[in-house]
Amino acid sequence: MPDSAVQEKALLDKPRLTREQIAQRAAFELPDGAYVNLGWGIPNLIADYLPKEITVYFHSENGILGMGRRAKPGEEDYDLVDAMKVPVTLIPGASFFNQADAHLMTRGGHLDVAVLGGFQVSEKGNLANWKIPGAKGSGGIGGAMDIAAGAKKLIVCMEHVTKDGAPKIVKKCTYPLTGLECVDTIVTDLAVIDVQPQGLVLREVAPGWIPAEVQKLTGAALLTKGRVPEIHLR
Amino acid sequence: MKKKVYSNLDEIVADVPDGARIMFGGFGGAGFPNNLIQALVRKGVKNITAISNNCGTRDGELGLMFKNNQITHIIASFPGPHANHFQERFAAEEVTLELVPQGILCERMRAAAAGLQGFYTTVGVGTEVAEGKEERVLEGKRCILEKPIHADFAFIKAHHGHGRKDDHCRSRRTRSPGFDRTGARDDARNLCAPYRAGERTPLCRIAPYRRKLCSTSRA
Repeated sequence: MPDSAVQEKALLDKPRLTREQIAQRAAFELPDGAYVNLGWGIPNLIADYLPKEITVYFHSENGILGMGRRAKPGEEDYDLVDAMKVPVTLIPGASFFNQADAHLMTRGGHLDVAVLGGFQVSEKGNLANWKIPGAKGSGGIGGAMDIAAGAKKLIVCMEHVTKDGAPKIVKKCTYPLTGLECVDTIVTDLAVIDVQPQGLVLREVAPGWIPAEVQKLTGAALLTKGRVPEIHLR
Repeated sequence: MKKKVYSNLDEIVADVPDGARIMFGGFGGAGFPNNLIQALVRKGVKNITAISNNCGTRDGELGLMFKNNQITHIIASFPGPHANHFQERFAAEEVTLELVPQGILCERMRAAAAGLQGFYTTVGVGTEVAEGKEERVLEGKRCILEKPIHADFAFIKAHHGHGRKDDHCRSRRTRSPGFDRTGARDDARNLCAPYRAGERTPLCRIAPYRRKLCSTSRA
């Protein structure tokens, strides 16, 4: 095995953030008072990790603004579900509306922040998150393309590499695209990265990691401005 | 005036022909007009074009119609992780799928209802969704042309209705907001049925332009 492959193998065995910790870090990106949509997967965990001092209003594309926590056992109402079809609760003042209005909000720039899962993000901020080439079945877009096109700020939460160790942050997406130049920030189990006009800027790295190691597992160049701090979870 | 209130489900769907284009309300497992779907299964209509957010959950919702091979084309945004009957038919090429971004799906239905011949959007630009569609730059943004989706019928699920006196129906929470109020505004005839047999509500058949559907519910 060449030295670089040995090094990469060693890196893949190094501890990374858990899915819950990715969600916890992404929660710090939400500003107080924001209208927020959370997608499937890791983004959906963010609601459990909101800093106490901030209030955000959750939008669900099936037609809710002011969605509360998930329903506890005995509390479930299957007419009141989120976009993952899981029974939820409401906060006071919540409202319901039809699908067309729900996506008026996503496309029209009325969501301050949307957080989606991702299969690949390119250095230009292109997102691929709805179909894996060669996978069985039809794939499904859902609300992701509307959200990617319209959210004021789009954060993608995902693992930094695939199960096989291939980078998910790449020069050019090879999976079917969800949207062009739509991603603003990427939060992974290794790093927080901002998509800037000059390229991908490495803002933070996971505890115990250094920028050069993160770069080894990234398919596009990462820019740094001075010392890159470690992700700090409260 | 055409009869609007029926005492049984099979009578409501009696004149739905083979080859009909039908919009179905509902999102995931919530809000699908399951009683009407079951009536279509009993009737055995074929060659249906369905317009729906999802493609069923196992035997639930549209799953039954795929199992029965009654749907040959579906326009949907998210077939869903448990749409096994759909996926089997899709793999066997017995059903074709037009995959549409969710908000664009309902906006195309709304365009049909609103008498619009289409609209331009940035959604889907540069993706598979844009293939074969006219593209132009508007306000400095790349956009694609999306055309309306029409239907012959819209099937929705109501929480309760005043079937005897008028044709109002109400929905409940997120059950309806799905696609119901978007689809039901189209010129399709809207068929709706209460969600539970034995409920006091009579079955309603609602004529186009004669209903006030699903006022926005309070939380």
